[in-house]
Amino acid sequence: MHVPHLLSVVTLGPIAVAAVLALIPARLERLHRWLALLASVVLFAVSCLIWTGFNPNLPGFQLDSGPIPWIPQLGVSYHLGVDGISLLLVLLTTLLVPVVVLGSWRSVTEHVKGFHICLLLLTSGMLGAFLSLDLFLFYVFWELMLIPMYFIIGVWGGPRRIYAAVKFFIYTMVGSVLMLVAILYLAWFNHQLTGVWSFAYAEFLKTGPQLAMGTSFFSSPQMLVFAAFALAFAIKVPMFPFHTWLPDAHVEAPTGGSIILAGVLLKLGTYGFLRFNRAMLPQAWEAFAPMIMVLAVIGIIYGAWVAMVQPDMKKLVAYSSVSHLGFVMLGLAAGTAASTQGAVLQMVNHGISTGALFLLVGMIYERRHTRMIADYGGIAAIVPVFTGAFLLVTLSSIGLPGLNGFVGEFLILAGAWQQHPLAVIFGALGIVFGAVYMLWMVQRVFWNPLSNEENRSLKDMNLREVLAVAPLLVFIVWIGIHPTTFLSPMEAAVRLLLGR
Amino acid sequence: MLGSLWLIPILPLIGFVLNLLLGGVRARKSLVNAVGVGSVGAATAVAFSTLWQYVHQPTVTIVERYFTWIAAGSISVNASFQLDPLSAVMVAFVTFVGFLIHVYSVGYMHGESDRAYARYFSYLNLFMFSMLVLVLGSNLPVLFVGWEGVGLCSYLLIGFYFEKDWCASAGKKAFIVNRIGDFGFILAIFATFAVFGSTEFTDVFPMAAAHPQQYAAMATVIGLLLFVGAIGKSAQIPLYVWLPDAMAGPTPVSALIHAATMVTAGVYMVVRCNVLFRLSPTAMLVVAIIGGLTAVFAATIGLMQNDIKKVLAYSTVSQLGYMFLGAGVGAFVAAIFHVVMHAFFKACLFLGSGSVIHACGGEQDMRKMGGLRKYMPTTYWTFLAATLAIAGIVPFAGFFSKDEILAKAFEAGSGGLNGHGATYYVLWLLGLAGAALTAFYMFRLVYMTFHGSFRGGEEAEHHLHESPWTMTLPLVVLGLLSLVGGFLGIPRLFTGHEGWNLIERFLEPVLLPLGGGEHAAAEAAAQVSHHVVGAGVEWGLVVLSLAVAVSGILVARSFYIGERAFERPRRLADRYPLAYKLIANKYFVDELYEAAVVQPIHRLATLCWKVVDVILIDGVGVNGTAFTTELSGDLLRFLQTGNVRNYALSVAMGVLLLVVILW
Amino acid sequence: MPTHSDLLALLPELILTLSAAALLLIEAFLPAMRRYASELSLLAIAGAAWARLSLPLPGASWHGMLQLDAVASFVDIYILVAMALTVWMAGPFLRRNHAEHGEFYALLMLAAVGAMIMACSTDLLPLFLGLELLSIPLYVLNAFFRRVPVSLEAGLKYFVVGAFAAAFMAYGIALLYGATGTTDLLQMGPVLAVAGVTSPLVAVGLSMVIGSLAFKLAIFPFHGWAPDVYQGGPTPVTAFLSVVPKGAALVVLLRLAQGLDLFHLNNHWVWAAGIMAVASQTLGNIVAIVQRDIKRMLAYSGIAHMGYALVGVIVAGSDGSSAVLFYLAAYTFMNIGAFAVVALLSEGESEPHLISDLAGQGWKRPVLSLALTVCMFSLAGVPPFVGFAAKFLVFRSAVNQGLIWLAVLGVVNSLISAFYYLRVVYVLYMRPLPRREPDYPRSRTITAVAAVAALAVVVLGTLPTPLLAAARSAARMLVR
Repeated sequence: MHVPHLLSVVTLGPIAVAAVLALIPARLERLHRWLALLASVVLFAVSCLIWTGFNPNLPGFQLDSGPIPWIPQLGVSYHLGVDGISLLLVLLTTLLVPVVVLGSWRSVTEHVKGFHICLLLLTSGMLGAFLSLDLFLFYVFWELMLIPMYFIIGVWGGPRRIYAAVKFFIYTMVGSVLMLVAILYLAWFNHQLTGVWSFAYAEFLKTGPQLAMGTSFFSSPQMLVFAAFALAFAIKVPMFPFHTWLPDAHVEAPTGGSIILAGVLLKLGTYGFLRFNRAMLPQAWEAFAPMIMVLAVIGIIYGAWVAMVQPDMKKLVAYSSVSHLGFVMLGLAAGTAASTQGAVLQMVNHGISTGALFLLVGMIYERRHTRMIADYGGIAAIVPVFTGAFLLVTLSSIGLPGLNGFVGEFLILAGAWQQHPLAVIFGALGIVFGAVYMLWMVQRVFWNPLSNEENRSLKDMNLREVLAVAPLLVFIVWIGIHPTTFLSPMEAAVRLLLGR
Repeated sequence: MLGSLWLIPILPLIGFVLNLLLGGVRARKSLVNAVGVGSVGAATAVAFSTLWQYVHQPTVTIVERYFTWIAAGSISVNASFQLDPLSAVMVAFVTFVGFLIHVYSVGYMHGESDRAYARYFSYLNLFMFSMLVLVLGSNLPVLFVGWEGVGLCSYLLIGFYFEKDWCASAGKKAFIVNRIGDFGFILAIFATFAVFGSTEFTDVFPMAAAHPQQYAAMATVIGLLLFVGAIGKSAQIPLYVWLPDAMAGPTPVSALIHAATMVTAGVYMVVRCNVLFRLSPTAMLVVAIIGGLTAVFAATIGLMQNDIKKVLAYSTVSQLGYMFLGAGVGAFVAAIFHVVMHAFFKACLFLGSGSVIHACGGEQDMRKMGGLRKYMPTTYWTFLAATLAIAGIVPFAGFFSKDEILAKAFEAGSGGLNGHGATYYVLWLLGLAGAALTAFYMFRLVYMTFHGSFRGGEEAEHHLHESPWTMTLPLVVLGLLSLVGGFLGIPRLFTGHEGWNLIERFLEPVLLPLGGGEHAAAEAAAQVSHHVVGAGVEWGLVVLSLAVAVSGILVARSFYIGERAFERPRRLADRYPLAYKLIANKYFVDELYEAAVVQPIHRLATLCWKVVDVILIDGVGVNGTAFTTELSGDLLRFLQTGNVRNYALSVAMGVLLLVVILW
Repeated sequence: MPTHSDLLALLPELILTLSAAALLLIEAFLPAMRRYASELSLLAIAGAAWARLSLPLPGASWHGMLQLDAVASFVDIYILVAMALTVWMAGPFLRRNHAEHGEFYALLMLAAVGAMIMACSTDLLPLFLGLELLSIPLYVLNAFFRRVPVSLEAGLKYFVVGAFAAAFMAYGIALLYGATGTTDLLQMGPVLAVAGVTSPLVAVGLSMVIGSLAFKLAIFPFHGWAPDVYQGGPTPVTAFLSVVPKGAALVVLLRLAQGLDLFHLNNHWVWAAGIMAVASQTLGNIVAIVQRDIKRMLAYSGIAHMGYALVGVIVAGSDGSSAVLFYLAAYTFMNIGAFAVVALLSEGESEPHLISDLAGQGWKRPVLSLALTVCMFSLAGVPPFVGFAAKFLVFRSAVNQGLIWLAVLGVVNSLISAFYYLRVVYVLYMRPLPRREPDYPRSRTITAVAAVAALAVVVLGTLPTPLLAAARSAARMLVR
């Protein structure tokens, strides 16, 4: 079925809902929660509608809103479209939002209204960034995400929340400002070639590759433009050595913030690499790919090692993200069809698994108000259901075959093996270390003797919490057993994208 | 039942899910039994009916494709099962032994709480599922699914008593050490994809067999990588360290997973990929050497263990070594034969020890046992049968399988297999020595446990009793099998013609003939030829290994029986304190790994965090920049004097500057 | 002898001047009417705006000394809007400080007239006239609170340095006249195009004129006065001061750059102005980071913003000019919005306006805080606010002109600026209310001003097309 402007509904809908919430008095907290939940569930339903309306055989963009002139004087237009790659990420995003609302039911107690407004604005920002086909529009959405996330970390966060929030904001901006210049340069170059002012992605796809490569880095427009984009995305991913904002942001952010941050925001980095650097600047990509691959592999090992020695669960998971995103970057850098599809799938996998991990860590934090591994131990006997859920998610994140994590890593490494066996060997080492730090944490938290008496009174998950985590578990198993459901829609798109 | 192979593993899977739910609602044990044992029983029934139909057409390979599991770009993996003689044999003994041990567990675990009981059986069912997927999988990735699945179950079941920290640690250790092996395995899968464009056994092996020299080089790489995986799963040097610790799990688990089935998966995988190994003399040699060394090395450690389960654990490691030695000398059939026989007698031994521990109220130290023969006769006799089998006493099961391997090793030596004749001779000698040691430590165990007088004290002696039928029945069945199982593979030597070596005839199709013929040596190893050594020599070998075994037994007897029991060993220990210390502490291998691998990595990781992240990137890089900016702000602020004269001055200077530049 | 049409052309200015006079008379003879002063001035402003919009633009008038074109009208409207907002918030503000005097509005209007004259003059003489007419009332307004020392000091400082700068302007005009024989930019252009900036007269004269304009803009190194004056002056005056003179001066600079075609006239110009622009941005932002007083901080942020705007002036052309005009409008709303909030979130004029005093107000005064937040993010140049659109246009014009280095340094600077704009936001929302809660005044009117400004920031940011269209059509007049 085809509903006109379905994408606009998804993208701008949350803003509308946020506006409605803004009009409702802040003291009606339950109303705010329920409205937000309802809205987010509807949002997920709508994006499923997009999924059903999506034709996996067409490589190009679908449900195209068509360019609607926005700032005609500059050739800026409002233009949304979805292809197999963005489809998956839209589904992921809309899946996580209701989870966040449920997960914040108890953990967010102050300024409930503000929180949900921020969350909804953030949602629009993320979806818009995934769906825009105009780079001005993309940039607007890209930056639009900063403000609500800044508030979510800074207002509802932990003790060092202000430092973390500012660090997050500035760090991200460091990358994006240069990207803005690069976009301007592309537009100018496009005008030189075509005589048309435009920021349309389609235009840049044609003109971008014609940017001169030059002899050295500084004499090469394409390389410079590439670097400007790459910096923005590398910080977002985050790739080593631009990752240090992540642990702070995660540790200080409230549960919901961490879920969105790890689940979706990081993916915007990898998505950007694929959608813009890879597609628009192919020659420069060739030149940079080895460097990206090296950094990716470093990230895999480094993230795993640092995660291993973290005393704080959230920090551990945060560093594990650095490692996991390293796999994604490795897959993109290798650039084969298999590794790229694997990378895209791994974006979704990481979103689900790490989102679930943060959700679960948040639940136990609500009960004991500590995230220190040392404060737990032997709680498996007291909270069996929670333990089971956590164990399943852990297994998915260490890539146990039959669960989602394995499929992504398998495709990435198998696809990369032929050209880059060395990178794959080191990458595969990451899988070993992944088992080390996750299982070590599991042992110290759930197994072993019940060392801390305060944990004896822990309550197991209640219905709301089960409902919050259940959808994620379903997808963990689904993607693990039948990934084709998710691989086939993106196949054509990836082939087209790599074909350039 | 042919055409629905999926039914075999799916039944235990259902059992797993149901038992999880039952555990959630704290269901009664009887219900859990029905589900747990029932599902595996059903699976066993289906399996055997399937096999019954299959044995009439054993040469064909049945492959069932269910759906495309992973497909992207050049990578495509089907979810599919395959039935051929090899998987048939594996399915048969896995389901059968598995079922027996499920039955045994009913008796052994009855003391647990309802919830733990359900958890135990759900894990056990999940294990059966994974193991069956492992042996039925028709390509490497599906095999890998089972491979990791059994690893997971092993992790969960070793850590079943998770509130004991050593159990939890042992589970974690098992999983991580296996991961190191899997690292090799998964790389092998990638390499296979790269070389053959597929990982379906029915695609890869014929292709490789048809063009031996074309694939020889890659076969070495893939073979060695695969073997790394096998080393991890089957506890060979240097990754064997997890298996002894794995004894922290419930004894039936040790019997099923850490003796009979899972640990032999490595052997199964090597035999499954025999074509690739036969293409690569190097890989073969490595397999044989690792196997031979492990066989003796583990046996020596077994000599001095006092924990009854630890002895059995090291003997398992040693026996697995024999299996790889077999595979390494090209006796793939013999290897599988020994896998099955070992499953029978080692399962029997573990269950027997379990019954003993059960009787002694959880006591595992043999120094606190003794004289149990009169309290638990069934256990004793079945245990004795299994011990004779592992010691290799004719006509018990172990005799045929182990002797077959040693004979093939000798042939490999005399035949100069791949031009490594000398090496293979040495390996054969090692095997022989290992046999002696095996006989010794196994009878040491029997004597310390069942003979002599009870050393556990008055109070414990009252509780000594024979186990319930659910536990003894499996013992009896397995005991009998350890007695007669060997007849499946009676060598030509005894009967005069091939006909009686059923297992070899059945498994023949698994060893594809290598094309080209330029791999004559590998051929020779493959089509196990009986004409390298004469019949006389063969008889000699048989007698020799028997003699070795018997001598081992006699030494044990002289050490641990009679009024002067335990005296000699003590004197030996006093005379060679260093050797004693070394062996008694398992050669300090665990300590070595801790110091050489674990600690360094941990320190390095801490360094990365505290120095690179916190100090360099964050301190100097990020906050440094912010600080510098703020500092320069503070400095520049002093330009702002609040003094009008200076403002006017700066205006004038500004104009002057403009003049200079513009002019 | 001015013709009828000449007078008609200046009708808005006349309306304002007359109402200023009227207000002074009211102040003298009808003190009872005093309380309606702000409403009356709003009326006058509305009238002036109506006149400007409804009457046809004659273009060159007063013997070509004034150029009443689209640019002039754009700037006039912008000045009138700015003044309207100022007057609107001034009412309650003065009442609160017991300084409800008609002169305030009268002076404000005269200053506005001066700015409008500046904006439309293409001849250096009326330019100087306008400059003085703009400056002198502002000196007085700055010192309007006679009893507040900082206010007096501010006025005095502004007056002294201002007079100094004005002298430069006068002297520069004289030199240019001496060199070219004309004070008309449109005639001066061709002459210089032939002669070039070879003679010292031209170089010095030009530098002096530009310098004194830069002084009004508070461009480095002519910025010294700004922080003290901003901090000292009555907040509404600061708001007015921070936008109106800058608008006028920028337009004059644009006319200068276009009329004399500085871009091509002198290839050092780009460097000279470029350095000034970047230096202002950098100095403004870096020093703003360490300010504790929000008005002072806004002064430095203003220095930085004029640095951005100057980039557009350097580029000139229709791209650059339209960018600058757009920037003016954008900057007006963000700044006045911010100052409106500041006017409310302070316990009194003599008190310092410490940023830390805003702690926790975010949840106590949601509308005000939200308005301030919007303005801060907009000033930082974060989409979807108008500040982003403005910066985007300026940097775009630079990139298209090949001045990528200006764009890069510009964006890096706006990154630095995020530091202190963010501080205001997190103090508002992420710091708890102090134990001793400050009792800040409440005023519907001023809140409304802030809200309107913030709303404009959002609307113009998301739908910049109409404003941009106006700016471009105006710019086209300049380029012609």
